[in-house]
Amino acid sequence: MDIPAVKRNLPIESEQSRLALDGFLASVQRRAFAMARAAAGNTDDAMDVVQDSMLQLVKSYADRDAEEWRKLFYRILNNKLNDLFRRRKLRQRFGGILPGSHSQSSMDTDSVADPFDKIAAADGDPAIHLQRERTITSLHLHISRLPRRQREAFMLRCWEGFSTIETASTMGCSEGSVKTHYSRALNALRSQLGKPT
Amino acid sequence: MKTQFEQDLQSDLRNCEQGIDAEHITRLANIRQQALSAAPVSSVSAPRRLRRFLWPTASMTLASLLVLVLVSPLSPFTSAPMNEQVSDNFELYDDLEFYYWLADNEQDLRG
Repeated sequence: MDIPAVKRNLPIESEQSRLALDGFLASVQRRAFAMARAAAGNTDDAMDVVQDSMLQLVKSYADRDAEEWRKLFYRILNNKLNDLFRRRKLRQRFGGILPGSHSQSSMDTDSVADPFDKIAAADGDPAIHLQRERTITSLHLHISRLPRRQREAFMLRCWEGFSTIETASTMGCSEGSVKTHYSRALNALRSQLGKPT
Repeated sequence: MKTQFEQDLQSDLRNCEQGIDAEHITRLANIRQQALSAAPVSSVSAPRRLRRFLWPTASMTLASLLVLVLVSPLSPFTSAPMNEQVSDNFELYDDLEFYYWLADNEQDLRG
């Protein structure tokens, strides 16, 4: 999926907004991609989800207060991930009827790439790198298997570092629900990763 | 306050963000530029959007006022028939005596 870099000169009056938005998107792009890849288990799908999220934020919410962008962006990202899972479910249900259904698998070659390739390229102790790679791969796998709301709560609370109030506002639910989903997600991950309580 | 387990998870997850390879970073930068280039100018420029919103609102208000003026009982177009009706009534009252006289004489004539 090659996306050409397109630059257009916006009017001077909006140049400042464009720069602010560019700065914001640059600050969240790595995390958004990593989150989407962990949830989707697939690099190309993750890239598409991030692209759709950025496009929607720019098209619909560029004129909002810059402080609102972070919450809006993660809400959009979650919605796009849910759309992806819905499409996958539909594809699974109707098998070969839908076009392009035969070529997609949930895990691509990138996300299950040989960890030794990365370790060889990395500096430091290979054993530590190998252990870290294994932990991350396992963590991503368990995150992708969490129920939808638990996964959302975990990604926003633990990974992004939102407060309970911010998470509740982003997920569109009460603080109590966030606490419940987050606690269940942590318990599930703890038991799956074999960590003591 | 976060537990040690939560802190470890957060640290692992954030470290993996730094491990994203250059190829993916380039693709993300391209995606970002593409998203920004797709921004409608109006969404970044509030005064322009305001102007776009102002025209239909102003024209609708003017049209409503025009309709109100035409339909209102105070308008000069609707007051003319009322004046005619009032003057007709005056004529009726003026001729009322004649009608009484006619009625009396009609009875005399029949009798």
